[in-house]
Amino acid sequence: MKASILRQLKQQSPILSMKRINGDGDGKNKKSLFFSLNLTTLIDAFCILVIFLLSNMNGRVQNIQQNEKLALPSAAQTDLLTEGLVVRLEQNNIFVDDKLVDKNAVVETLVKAYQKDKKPLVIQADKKSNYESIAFIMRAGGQAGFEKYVFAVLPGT
Amino acid sequence: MSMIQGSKNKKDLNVELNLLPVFDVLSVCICFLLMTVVWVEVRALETKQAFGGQSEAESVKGSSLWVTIDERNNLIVSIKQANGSETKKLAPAKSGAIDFQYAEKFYAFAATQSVTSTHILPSKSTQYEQVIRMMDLAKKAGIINIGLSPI
Repeated sequence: MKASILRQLKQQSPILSMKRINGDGDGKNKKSLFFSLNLTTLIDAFCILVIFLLSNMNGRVQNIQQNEKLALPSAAQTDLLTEGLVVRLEQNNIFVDDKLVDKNAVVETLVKAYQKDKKPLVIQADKKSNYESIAFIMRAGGQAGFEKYVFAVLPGT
Repeated sequence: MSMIQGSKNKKDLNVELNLLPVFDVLSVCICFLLMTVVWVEVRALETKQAFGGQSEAESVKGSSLWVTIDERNNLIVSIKQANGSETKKLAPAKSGAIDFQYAEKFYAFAATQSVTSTHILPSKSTQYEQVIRMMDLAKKAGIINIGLSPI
């Protein structure tokens, strides 16, 4: 009897009468608005994406910062860019490992870097720059002890 | 017929897994990987210093290819044989630019002459892009040991 009274009270509730959407459904005739999404296929797709992105990651590859002022030359016969000391030539400014270095102190900086870690020297320069500036870095690298030079290029023809 | 459907007394064997945490983890993974992905892959063109890189004893005695680019982008190519003989040719610049077609042909010829080392000697004013292209063409022809002169 009590339950029926409660039900009657519930049915007469002013809050329920104001409520337009009833998520749980209201009785046999109304359909519940809660629905279940099948997430399995979505998770499958996500897993494939994660595997693809993880396979593209390579810890050995040297990441090089690119900007609009610096357009790299392109080459067809290229290799994988492995870790090295990056020397960037940007509008007559020389950056060693993203730090601006004075032209007179380039050799000294490269000597310190070579003593620390004997990696190849990665040269990143604009395609329109003269060979004189590239040769300057190569000479400095040679004086510091670097034997292998790597030019950062874009894959292409 | 279903084996896994439970009856009144037996417990239902169908289990609902809450996939939402998995979904969250995967979403975070994808966001992180998308942010760290390298869209434009930078490649490498390896070289070494043309002279002084190795001692006299270490240097292999064989025929060598010398490619000189002068201030006017004229190309002087020569093959120096181990016995001292030299084949020298000049390719004048084509409308101010290096004659890459000639360079490609000469590289192909040099590859047949069992050239052991190649030295590229650009001038001060030679564009970096052109030097890279000369190296690229040499590699394309099958010449591996490429050295670059530091002027």
